[in-house]
Amino acid sequence: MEFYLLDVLLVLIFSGIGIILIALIFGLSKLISTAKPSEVKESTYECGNVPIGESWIQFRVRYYIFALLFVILDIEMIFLFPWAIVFQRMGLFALIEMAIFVGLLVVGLVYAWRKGALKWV
Amino acid sequence: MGYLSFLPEMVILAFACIILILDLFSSKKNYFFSLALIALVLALVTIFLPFSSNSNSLITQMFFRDSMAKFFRVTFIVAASLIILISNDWARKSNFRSEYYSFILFATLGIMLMASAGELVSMYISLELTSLSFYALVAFSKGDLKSSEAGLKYLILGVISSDVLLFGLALIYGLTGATRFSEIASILPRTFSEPAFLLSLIFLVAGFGFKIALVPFHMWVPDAYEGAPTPVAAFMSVGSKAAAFAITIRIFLGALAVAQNFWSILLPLLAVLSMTLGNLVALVQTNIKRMLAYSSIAQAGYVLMGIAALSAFGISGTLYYLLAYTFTNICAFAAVTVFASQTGSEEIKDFAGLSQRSPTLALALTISLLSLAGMPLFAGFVAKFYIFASVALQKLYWLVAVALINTAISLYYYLMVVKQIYIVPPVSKEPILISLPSRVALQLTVFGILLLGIYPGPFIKTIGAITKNLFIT
Amino acid sequence: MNFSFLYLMGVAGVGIFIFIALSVLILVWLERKVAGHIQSRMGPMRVGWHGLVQTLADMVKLISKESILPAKADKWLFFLAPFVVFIPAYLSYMVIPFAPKLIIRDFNIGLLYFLAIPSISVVGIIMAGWGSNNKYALLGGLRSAAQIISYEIPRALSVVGVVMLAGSMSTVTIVKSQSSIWFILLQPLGFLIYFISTLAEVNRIPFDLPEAESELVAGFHTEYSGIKWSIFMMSEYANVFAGCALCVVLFLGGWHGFLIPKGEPWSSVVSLIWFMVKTLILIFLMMWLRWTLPRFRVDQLMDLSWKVFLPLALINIGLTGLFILGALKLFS
Repeated sequence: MEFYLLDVLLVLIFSGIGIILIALIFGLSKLISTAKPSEVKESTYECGNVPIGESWIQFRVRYYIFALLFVILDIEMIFLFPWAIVFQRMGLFALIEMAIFVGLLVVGLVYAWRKGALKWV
Repeated sequence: MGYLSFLPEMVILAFACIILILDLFSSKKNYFFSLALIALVLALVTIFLPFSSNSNSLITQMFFRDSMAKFFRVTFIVAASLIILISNDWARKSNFRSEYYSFILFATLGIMLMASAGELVSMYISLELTSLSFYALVAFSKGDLKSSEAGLKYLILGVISSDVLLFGLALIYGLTGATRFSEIASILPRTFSEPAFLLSLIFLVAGFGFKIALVPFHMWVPDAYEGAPTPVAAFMSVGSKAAAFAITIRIFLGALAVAQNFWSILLPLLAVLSMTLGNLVALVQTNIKRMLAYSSIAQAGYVLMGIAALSAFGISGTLYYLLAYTFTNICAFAAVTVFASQTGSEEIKDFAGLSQRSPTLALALTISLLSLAGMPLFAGFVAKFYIFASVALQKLYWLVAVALINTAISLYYYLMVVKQIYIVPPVSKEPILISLPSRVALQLTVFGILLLGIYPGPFIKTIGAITKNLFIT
Repeated sequence: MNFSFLYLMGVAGVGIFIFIALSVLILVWLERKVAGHIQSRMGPMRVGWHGLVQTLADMVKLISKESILPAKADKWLFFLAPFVVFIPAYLSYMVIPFAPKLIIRDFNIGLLYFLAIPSISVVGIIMAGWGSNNKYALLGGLRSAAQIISYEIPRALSVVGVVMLAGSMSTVTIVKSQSSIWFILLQPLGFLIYFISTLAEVNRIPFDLPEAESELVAGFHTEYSGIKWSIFMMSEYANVFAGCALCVVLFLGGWHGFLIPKGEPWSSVVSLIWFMVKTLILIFLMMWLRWTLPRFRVDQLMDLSWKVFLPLALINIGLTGLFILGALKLFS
């Protein structure tokens, strides 16, 4: 089996172990815990008041723009890592190349900043 | 250093960023127009500087630096300059002037890279750069519902078509394990597998068909052109279409030439469909931008005939047609832009009596429409003649016949507009003023149309030299 | 690959789980003691020596408590959220090199793995927030998402400098390359950004907006109780430990230290002790901060990430590049 496939398999195995162990604890808790549901107990908690309205409503998600910026910069970050690994071998050339690449993204960031995309409204 | 041969692209990229940044820190907004023009002029100058491109660096392997690439790059820079000239009236009213010009520059950069792409990845990325710029540009009139609708339609359909194209490219890569066109051409015969190839062919044709706006992948065109700001519609009809044609030529005649008998039947078919449907639907349009949109679909059909001829002569015809079409279509759209910005209307019936309100504008629009129809004296005639001749040489007489009938049909709706301009009496006598940049653009394009129509010799010679080496095999 | 290897991995998996459980028990006790002493009180004293077994008793209580399922909640999201929050925290322990050879798997992209995997837990937090059908929970979940994605960028960018110095993303190689000099001396800025961003990533004060008790009751786990709630608590402390451990790996020399005997059987043990001590110091720092600093406002939180840390992290990368070039010139 190829090396990286083994790595992926291991991550899967560990996720499986984690799920099983948590499920075991849940099961144990189920066995020894009491369960006396009542209407008041199951109502939505709103600091003791009777809940007003639904919480699954339309409302403005304020950091939508942040999420967009995140996607762009996250990809930039992914490109930076392989570059960082080979940096010592490639020297000044790599630094200039990356400066251009990051520079272009910084233009975008400065643009977003000045246009108020980073402002919490 | 192979990098220096990318100087024009770098200039455009740098200016696009500079315009964006300057906007953030200066209160004056009126010099972006000049900056964008300076960028394009600088780029045009640097294209002709003698930088050697014979380097084996990675980037020069990703892009062709041949004479065909040069032809397209020059054409695109000229087209972009004309677009910027006619944008001034419109952009002056916009709140996002710097963004507009930098998007135009990014789109120019995209189509320039597209036309010179030498392998699948760089091709796809430059295609995306172009498409993304155009998505934003189409939806640029923020308050305008039509513009937003057009932008959204174009975005959704465009993204789907890009995906379809990507599937096709992925299959080609899967078949050959290569991304460079020349490598694909040499590996494909050895690893050929019919089902996979046919599948990828379908995807490729659909993807490119969308970008070129061929029937049956044309649905987005009328809406997008109608909703987009007029200069943007002009740029789309000229720039992204020509760039997509450039890629089509490179991929089909370069990378997939060995599988010719699979796709050679498709091209005449698509050509016939496009020109027939485009012309027939254009007949009933009342909005001039929609009419021009359908006319551009039909024109794409003619251009495709040149590729369908599968000869160097045919490709020369294609290139010549694209050059002629660039000037002609920008001229037509420029006239519409000026008219619409003054009167606020894009209906054909409102063009009534234009000759009395502005003789210059009327003359320019007439010349461009006659050239689109393929009348002698104008660029369109030489271009059509060139292409029809190349198709006839390949003994595809039925295709020529269909194209001739189509030309006759198209003459009708172009002349209907001319009739409105010269014969129908005007609704209002108010003269239409043409601003200096638009005037320059109109003069340049009319000059181009006449030059290409009356004295095509040098251009044909240059283009012949470009395409001579395309069919060595 | 064979059966014994799988068996070994299975044992390791359970072992890590037990390690997390134990470390959480101790960390919760420590947190309460630190809080107590900072506020001039004793903290838990009754159960065991200085309340050492207090958390164990709490755990027994939590397991035997009723786990309420709100009537209006989305049952599946509500049930699955603790899993999605805990598993990434658990998985991130796979790449922590506690001592030479004491690591589950030395991935060649270990660092990237460590940065990527814990971010998955944000999905679980949103699931919990949405699934509870409770306004406070939803707000907490969304805040948490904003915070984690905002601090993800400076956090990842701040370690690029370390990767450049080490020339590898394997956590073991990074530790080995610090045998002569700890990277905190070469990357002080990177260390600061990483540490503060880690605080934000694990939702600790001053960045605990997702569970700000004075405004959002308990944030995304308002509706949770009993064992489900304790899984959230457990993952939080697991994340704290893992974040600090990685900080030690990246900047503080990992298992390196002085007084480590060479070639002796117990030298690994000494290394392990070094690693643990360093990690505990960082954790203590986090607790100290928690009981000292007030909470950020949302806009301040965002500004700090996007307008201060992001540019600083980029500058740090550039400076590191120049530094490496200079050093290469000097020593070649």
